[in-house]
Amino acid sequence: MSHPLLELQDLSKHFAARGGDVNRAVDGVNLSMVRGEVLGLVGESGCGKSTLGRLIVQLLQPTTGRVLVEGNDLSALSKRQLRSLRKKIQIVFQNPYGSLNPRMTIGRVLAEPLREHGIVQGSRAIESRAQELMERVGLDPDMLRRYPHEFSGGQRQRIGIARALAVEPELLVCDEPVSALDVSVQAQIINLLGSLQKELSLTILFIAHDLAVVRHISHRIAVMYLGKIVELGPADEVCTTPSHPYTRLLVSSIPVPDPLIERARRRSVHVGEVVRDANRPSGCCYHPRCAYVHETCTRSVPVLKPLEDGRRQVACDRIELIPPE
Amino acid sequence: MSLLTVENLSVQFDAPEGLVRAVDGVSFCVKPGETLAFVGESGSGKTVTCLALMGLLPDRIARVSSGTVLWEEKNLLEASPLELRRIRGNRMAMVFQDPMTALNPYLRVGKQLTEVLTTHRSTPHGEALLQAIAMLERVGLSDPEGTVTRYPHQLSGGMQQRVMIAMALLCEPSLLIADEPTTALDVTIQAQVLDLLKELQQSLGIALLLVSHDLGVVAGLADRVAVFYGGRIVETASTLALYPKPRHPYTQALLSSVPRMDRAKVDSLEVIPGVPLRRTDDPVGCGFAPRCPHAMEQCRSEKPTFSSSPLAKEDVQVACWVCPEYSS
Repeated sequence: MSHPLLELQDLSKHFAARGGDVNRAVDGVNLSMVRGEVLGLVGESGCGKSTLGRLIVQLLQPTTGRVLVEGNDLSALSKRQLRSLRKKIQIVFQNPYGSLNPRMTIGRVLAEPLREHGIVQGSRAIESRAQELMERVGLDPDMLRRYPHEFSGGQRQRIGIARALAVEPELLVCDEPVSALDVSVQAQIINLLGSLQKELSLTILFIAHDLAVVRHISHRIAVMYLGKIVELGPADEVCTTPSHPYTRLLVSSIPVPDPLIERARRRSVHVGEVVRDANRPSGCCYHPRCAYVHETCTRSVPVLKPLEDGRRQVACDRIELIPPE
Repeated sequence: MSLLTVENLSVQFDAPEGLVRAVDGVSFCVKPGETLAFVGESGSGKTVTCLALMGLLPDRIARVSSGTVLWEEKNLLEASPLELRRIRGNRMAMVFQDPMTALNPYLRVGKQLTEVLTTHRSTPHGEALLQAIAMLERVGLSDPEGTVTRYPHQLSGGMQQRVMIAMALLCEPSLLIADEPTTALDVTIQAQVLDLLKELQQSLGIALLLVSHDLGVVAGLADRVAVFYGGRIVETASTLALYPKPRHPYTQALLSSVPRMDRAKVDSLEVIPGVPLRRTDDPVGCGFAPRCPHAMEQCRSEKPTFSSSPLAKEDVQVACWVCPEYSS
């Protein structure tokens, strides 16, 4: 049995916050991804989903825990070993305006990783590979000599994807890749990622706050709340029969483009705000907002456990006692 | 009678890359107590239209090049600063997208709220503070007395937006303009703020002009919808008529390109090919023609106007040469 492509073991990232507090952005996450899988990671701002993405691509070092790629612990590798593994994991950022160097032509943007990782040798070969990449993401190869400002937001995000694909990665971490784009362009990029995933058998960690988008592209969905995964399961099931109280709130909060449904809707009543880490509640982090809270929830921290059907994992100690929706 | 009637409004900007026709001949009206929503993509002219109504365009680079904005039969575009001041912030108030930048970071929440009343109503300070606290409670803040003593950065995004809404409502306006009021908020907080807006609007009977790119948000709140593309309104219809049967090809594409939670998963999303208009583009014909699957010769040579006749009884207006035929 081979190793999963990516495995996170008890991964945590703590930042020092103002006044000596600790911000536990990622707090004991266990997760694994098999080859060819698209895993959607959803949650609200500040839940730690982007930090988790950055830990995986080694833009951040974990405070505790391990990131394993094909069974190799990234923190135990030498620089050279890390370099060759790094090629397998690439990231696409949210902001296509901020993630491309404005002084570099697109040709240079794409040539840099090709040269750096020795994917192809010689400037002619590099140029023709860059042209292939442009075609792959639906851009005109003749535009390689242009600069980022000459492209629209959607085109720039295509360039960001082409750059990530240049080194032939196996795992792509996409951090809110469509949230800066207009709806009409968003669909183009989602479809592009979907077809690239199939053609290249890519494994994708798709991080986004928009559950509808995540459901569309993912096989499985992980829901994060204050640094922890609270629910994990098949994408459609998590969206149609959410189990954890937070997932239920999330699903019921999403407005759908149908006036009849929206007017009839009784939203899950419960309110409350996302707490900041300094005021992190004891026990289950979600208990102050939870509609099903019980006094035991303030004491023990629930861990992610499989539900009876074995298809889904939920971090809630009282899940059996909560009525289905 | 309409509260607000806008006819043929055009706004132009002088940008480094040339003349930008941000709003290009827009007409609509808002009746008392109703909710009209502007939907469309960024740069389609929704916000600029609102800023023009409020007289908040940056006058060094922007100008209203044509049109009238009638507020209860008074043309706001010709109103004196004094007349404008009596209406703006008082009868007609605005909530902005990003509460963090719309609130003054140096002033306590209480000061910013009471200023509205002392300015427009000459309310004594003590009385204004009481009204401010009552309004904060009205918009659902749990500790209104504490909130007035805080600075904006001490509040969460959802609380800041509630403060903005409270501020806009203090003078009991007849029209509230809300420009992407929940876009900067998380989805669970968005749901709370939307519920609040709906409840306030119904109980206070104010008209709401809602700007949003989110068709789901609009579906829940609006009575009527105006769809913007390239600085023009391409379709207006009642919400109940628009969603089941969008007529304009752009509205159709917009509705079918978003993944939906209420439907089964589809293999691939419908895509609107091409890119939105650039800011300086000034197409001869329909702005959507280059991306439109139904475009014909006339679409490229002549700007479509509202052809309400075949659809008038359904309260639908569409600016499209093609669609009255193929949709019937």
